[in-house]
Amino acid sequence: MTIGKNARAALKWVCYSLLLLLCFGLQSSPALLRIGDIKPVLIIPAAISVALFENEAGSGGFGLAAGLLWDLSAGKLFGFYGMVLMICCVCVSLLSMYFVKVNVTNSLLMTAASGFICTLWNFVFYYLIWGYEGVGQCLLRLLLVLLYTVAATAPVYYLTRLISTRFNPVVRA
Amino acid sequence: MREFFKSLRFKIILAVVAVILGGMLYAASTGGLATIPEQLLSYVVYPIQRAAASVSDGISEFLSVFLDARANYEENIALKEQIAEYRKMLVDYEDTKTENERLKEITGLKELNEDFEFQPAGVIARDPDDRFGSFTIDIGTLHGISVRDPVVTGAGLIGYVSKVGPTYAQVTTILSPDCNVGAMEIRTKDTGNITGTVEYAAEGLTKFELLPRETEVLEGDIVVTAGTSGLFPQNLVVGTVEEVALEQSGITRYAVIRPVTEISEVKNVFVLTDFLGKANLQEESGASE
Repeated sequence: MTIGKNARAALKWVCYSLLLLLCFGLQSSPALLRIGDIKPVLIIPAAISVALFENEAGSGGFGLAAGLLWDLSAGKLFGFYGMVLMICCVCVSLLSMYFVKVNVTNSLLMTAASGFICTLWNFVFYYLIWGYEGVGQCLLRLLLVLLYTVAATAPVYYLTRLISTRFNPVVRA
Repeated sequence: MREFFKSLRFKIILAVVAVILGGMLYAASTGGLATIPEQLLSYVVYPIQRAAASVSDGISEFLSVFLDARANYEENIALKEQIAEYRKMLVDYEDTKTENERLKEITGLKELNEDFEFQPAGVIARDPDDRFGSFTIDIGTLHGISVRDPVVTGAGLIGYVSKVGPTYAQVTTILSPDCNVGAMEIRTKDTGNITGTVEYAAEGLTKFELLPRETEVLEGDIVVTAGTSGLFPQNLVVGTVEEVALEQSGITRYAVIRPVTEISEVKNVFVLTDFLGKANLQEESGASE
């Protein structure tokens, strides 16, 4: 039995959303994936990996949803990460459409770059401008979180590629 | 690529960015209350966060049997010694309790904590990016929680509710520089302010600042809430003094405090929804307007 184009697209986004919720659950759980005091922000590789395989509108929407979830669990202003992650996903999607090849190395690089932007965004507005003492330590910890996040990118990328190759008629490469 | 910047999609994306910015400004102006889209989204993710927390607790508990075996054995021996000591102390305690009850009858004093009204809560999420141990709990406005409610464990103060949604609330801990609690050392009666710093938060400690230069506070002394602001009840234990030092300014001293509860490990807390002497923030803000 074959399914229609629209149904395939809908199923694909359902799978992406489930992947995002899985990453969100792992990220926000108190103890899972914790090394010392550090946990990865799995929402970033999930959003960026989807952006590598999808068009700019879909990627932007998915990045926004991912960022809003992150805002919710982090207790940040609603839209704080949502806006940045949406812009990052649109940029990544455009880059993958016109300039870069879609592979795991580029996925790591894009996640690292987007994660770095989110980290700086958070650092500036939640730490630096308040003038806390020893604020450099905060940046160091945020960078460790970013490092762990980048290290955890590959499985998320391969899961996303699996969904994309299953449902997209033409897979970007 | 150039077509994209001229396309309708690009304009829609710009419009969405503008709407988010507007939403953020509005959210910032609500003073900790969740916006409607945030509340709606929280209903969707709440079960996921609960499920993830349950799985996380289950796995941690299972692994700890193997990973912490040696530590548990040593702890077991230490605890047995402690129990023997506590048995002796229990005898003293019973005597003191009887004497205390007799005095209470005489003076007609009420049990201080009878005025507490609280809601038990479980920790369902911790943000990897947060430096000061803040966490999310599984109760919110539907359970009678409001912003600035104190959060405690059986041992003492943990922090306060800084943001609240219908079924969840964000807790800012006493490790955070955003937290300011009027406190008192019980032996010397010296008062000061509890607030976090980046340096101490990294070690799970907090700071008791603005102590007089000639303070006699010593290592091991116990610090409790002063209860003068009406935001926190009086005599909640905050922690024990680890070290006392002179501030860089040379005008005041400060003490480094180890909280009574390991904040990064806490799983269950209580939110104090009402207590004797609680300030009514709404009325006060209305009056100030």
